[in-house]
Amino acid sequence: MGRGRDEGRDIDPGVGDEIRFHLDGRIEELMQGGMDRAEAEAEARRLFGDPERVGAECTAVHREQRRREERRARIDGLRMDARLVLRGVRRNPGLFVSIVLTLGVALGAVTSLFSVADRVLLRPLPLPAPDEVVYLWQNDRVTGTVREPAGTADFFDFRDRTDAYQSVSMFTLSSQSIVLGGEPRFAATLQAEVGLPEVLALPPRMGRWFTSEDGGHVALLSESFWQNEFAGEDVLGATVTVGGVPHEVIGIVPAAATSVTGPVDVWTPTGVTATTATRNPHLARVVARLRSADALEAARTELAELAALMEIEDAANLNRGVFVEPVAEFARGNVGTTIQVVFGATLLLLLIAAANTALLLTARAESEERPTAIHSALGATSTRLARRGLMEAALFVGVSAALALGVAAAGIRAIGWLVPPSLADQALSLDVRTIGFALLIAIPLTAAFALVPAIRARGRDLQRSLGHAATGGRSAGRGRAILVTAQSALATVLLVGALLLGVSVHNLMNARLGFETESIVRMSLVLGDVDYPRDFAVYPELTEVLTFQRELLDAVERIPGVAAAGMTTNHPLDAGFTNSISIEDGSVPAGVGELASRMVTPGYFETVGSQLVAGRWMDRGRGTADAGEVLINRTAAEVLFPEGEALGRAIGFWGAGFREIVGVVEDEAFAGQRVEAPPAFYTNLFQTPAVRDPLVLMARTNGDPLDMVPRLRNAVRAIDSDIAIYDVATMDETLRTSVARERFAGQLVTIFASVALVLAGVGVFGVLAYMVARRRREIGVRLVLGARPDQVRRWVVLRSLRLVLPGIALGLVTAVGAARLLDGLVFGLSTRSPAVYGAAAVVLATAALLGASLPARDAAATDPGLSLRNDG
Amino acid sequence: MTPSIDSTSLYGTLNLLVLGAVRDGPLHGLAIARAIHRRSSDVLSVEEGALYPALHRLERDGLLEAEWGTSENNRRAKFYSITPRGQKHLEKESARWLRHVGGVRGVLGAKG
Repeated sequence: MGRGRDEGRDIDPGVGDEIRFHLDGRIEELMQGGMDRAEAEAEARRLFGDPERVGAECTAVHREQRRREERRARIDGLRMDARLVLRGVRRNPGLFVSIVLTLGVALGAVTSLFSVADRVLLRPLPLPAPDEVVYLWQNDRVTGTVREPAGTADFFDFRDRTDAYQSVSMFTLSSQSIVLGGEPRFAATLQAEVGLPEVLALPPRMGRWFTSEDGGHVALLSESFWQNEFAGEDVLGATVTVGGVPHEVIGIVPAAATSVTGPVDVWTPTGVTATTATRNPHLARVVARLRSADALEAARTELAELAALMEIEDAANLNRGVFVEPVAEFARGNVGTTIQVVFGATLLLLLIAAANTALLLTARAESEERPTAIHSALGATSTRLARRGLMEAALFVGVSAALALGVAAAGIRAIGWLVPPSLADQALSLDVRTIGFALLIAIPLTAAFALVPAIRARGRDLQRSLGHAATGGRSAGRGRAILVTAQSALATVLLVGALLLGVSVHNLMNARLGFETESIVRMSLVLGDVDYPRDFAVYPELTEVLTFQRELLDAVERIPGVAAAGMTTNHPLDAGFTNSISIEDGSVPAGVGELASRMVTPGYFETVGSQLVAGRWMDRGRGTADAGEVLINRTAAEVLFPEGEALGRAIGFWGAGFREIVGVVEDEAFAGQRVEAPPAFYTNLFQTPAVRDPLVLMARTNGDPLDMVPRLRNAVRAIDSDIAIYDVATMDETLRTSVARERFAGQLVTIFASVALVLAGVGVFGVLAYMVARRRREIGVRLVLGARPDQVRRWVVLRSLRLVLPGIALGLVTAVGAARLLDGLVFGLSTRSPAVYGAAAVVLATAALLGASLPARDAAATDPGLSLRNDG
Repeated sequence: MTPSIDSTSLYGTLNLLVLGAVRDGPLHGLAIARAIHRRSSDVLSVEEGALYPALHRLERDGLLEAEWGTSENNRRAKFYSITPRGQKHLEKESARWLRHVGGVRGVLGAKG
């Protein structure tokens, strides 16, 4: 086999030698048998078969064998590294556990909040072309309200006199009693104009939408109502009685529609036509779909012009403008701040956790210096060490991530329970995007931690190559000090946030409300138009309503344990409706818009603990035949009669004559604690019976108000069992719910601040413990030279302050900027309140001192003899 | 020339023969070929082109291990010896082969 034939076939030299040996052996054998060399060679080759082919085949096998061996060696190498990493963990389980816990909890928290932020802020609405869908609000230039439903007549104008929309429709919301195969219950109902499905551009979940041929007696159930009540069975064709009138169920509304309508249970057709439409009341929520998402500005201009025209055409439209708002923005709007605040806080927490982990890892890296040096001496290449570092970081982060997902799953469930419905009306879950986010954070974390030992090694090598002795100890100590300072800064920011929010919640809960909330319970009653007709033609002689009001109050007041009872159209934390008024023998001052109108029974004021400013309370004996009386609140008195007496004057509203002002009550904060109380008037329900549902029954009880609820229910049922009762709550609970956003943010930030505080304290402890250990000799010397133990202790403690004070300062400065985020949530104090910042600084300093206490004690207890004898 | 056993048929048999040949001690490729021929009383001879790939595969699969050494005429040669795994494989496969042959013989023998 000539050499020339080897080329181009790439035959392994060993294989070639082996084959040559064989051939030579055969050749010798044949020559011994009598052939000459040439014959023998030919014969040998013939006997062998094609040597080149064989050689190539053997080489291939040989190469494969080598590949297998290399792979085995690599796997063995990995296995050894894994074993070393695990051994490192076993040697130092405390370190591993604390890192995993810190990272896992922080990462889990961030992930949970991401799911909220994602669902609320990032995701588009579940509608086709969601950016095209807009609300057409009306606004009132006088009262300053920005978002009001329109009058039904306004809807027809918007629809027919504009060009900018593919489709325009409207709906109204109501609460009615319904019966669907069982006993009457309360439901949130929606009255839809026939074009509403076209605006939503959604197909029905089942069945079909309304058509204009359907008449009024058809209905659709919402998907959630259908799932909850009927577990998805087929209910098409069933009969549902809405407000006493039977309707046929023709379809199911898809859940995506609630992103525009809010949660409702039953849809019915609106029944309003262009001829029956009115300018007042403002109950129609107009929603439209633009021709394209960028046509928003043009639509706004067009509608503004139309609104101006409408103001001129009809006095009822005076001072009314319009406001086109994309539904997506509305959904995000009031929630965005809260989410940002809380999400920001969790990111801070994660930073602190990461800093802590880095601290712990560098500490461990130092104690590992000798073993690592030995490994290096024994031939571990820097790639092997780097790989080991990477494996270890992956292990830490991997286990932390697994823990984090668990924490996130629990956290998401807890958040769903904590989060007020206004923040996230859809179920939160650990979905793909959230898990993806967690991994997205975990990966750079892994890289960062893997780099820690690598950077240290590089620093060490660099120092060595520059001829210095490795001063790893001191520079590492400095690095750790920086990390602790950073931790303190971050913890300070969180503390400031927690304090601001905590104080705000306290202020909100204790703000002057003008009414009491303790031991008061309320429930809403739906009377229904069938049994309690409310015919405006005979108003105020609504016999059935008046009789019911009288009978129920009599019954409730007789219940033992009820100290006072009343009825109202709106409970004290419900803003309710407004009306325009006129003044007899006078005119309404310029700039005064509508007043909030509230209809109450005379006993209401005693029930909620109102205070009288002037005049007298309502007359319990008055009825519809008597002269009309009205109370106004303090703001109304100041605004309507700025120069003189309100008592004795008369105001008129509803086009129904004038009523005498007999008293002035203290303002009730029914628009919430954050705004000035609006001007309001109160009429007597026995003179002006309630015209729409619901009617709210309120009772002040001697004991726990919730205990009274069953008896109140029975009193209602005893009079009329068809009345639906819903929204039963104490005023305390209602107040708590009204500050739900602030409470939620406050609770979370407080939790984070506490964790951050603990971590900062632990960080201080770590740094000082290390410092004391390193400077043991120096401490020993000091003690020998006459220092007292408490001086040593003080020295250590002062070092701790030196560590955190720059961090606190930095944190306070940062907090001033960050607190701006809280502007919308803070109440009753400025975001720059010096008391809060001072308190945060003190708390953090205390945490640092606590962290220093153990090392301080340890330092003071140094045995000088021992420390001097041992060599560092 | 006696009929030869080549690599395409009875591949497993070739492995068996090779393992059997090195059972008693290390041999280089040429010696293995001669041993098979000799011990089979000249009945079997191996196509040499099949032998070397077989040897390399057996080495790759861990049934043989190889070492470079010096041959009887002082030349560099690669010697193959059996591994414990190879030994186990040899015992199992030869038992099976012999059973197989016994069965065939039974059928043929019955015909006389």
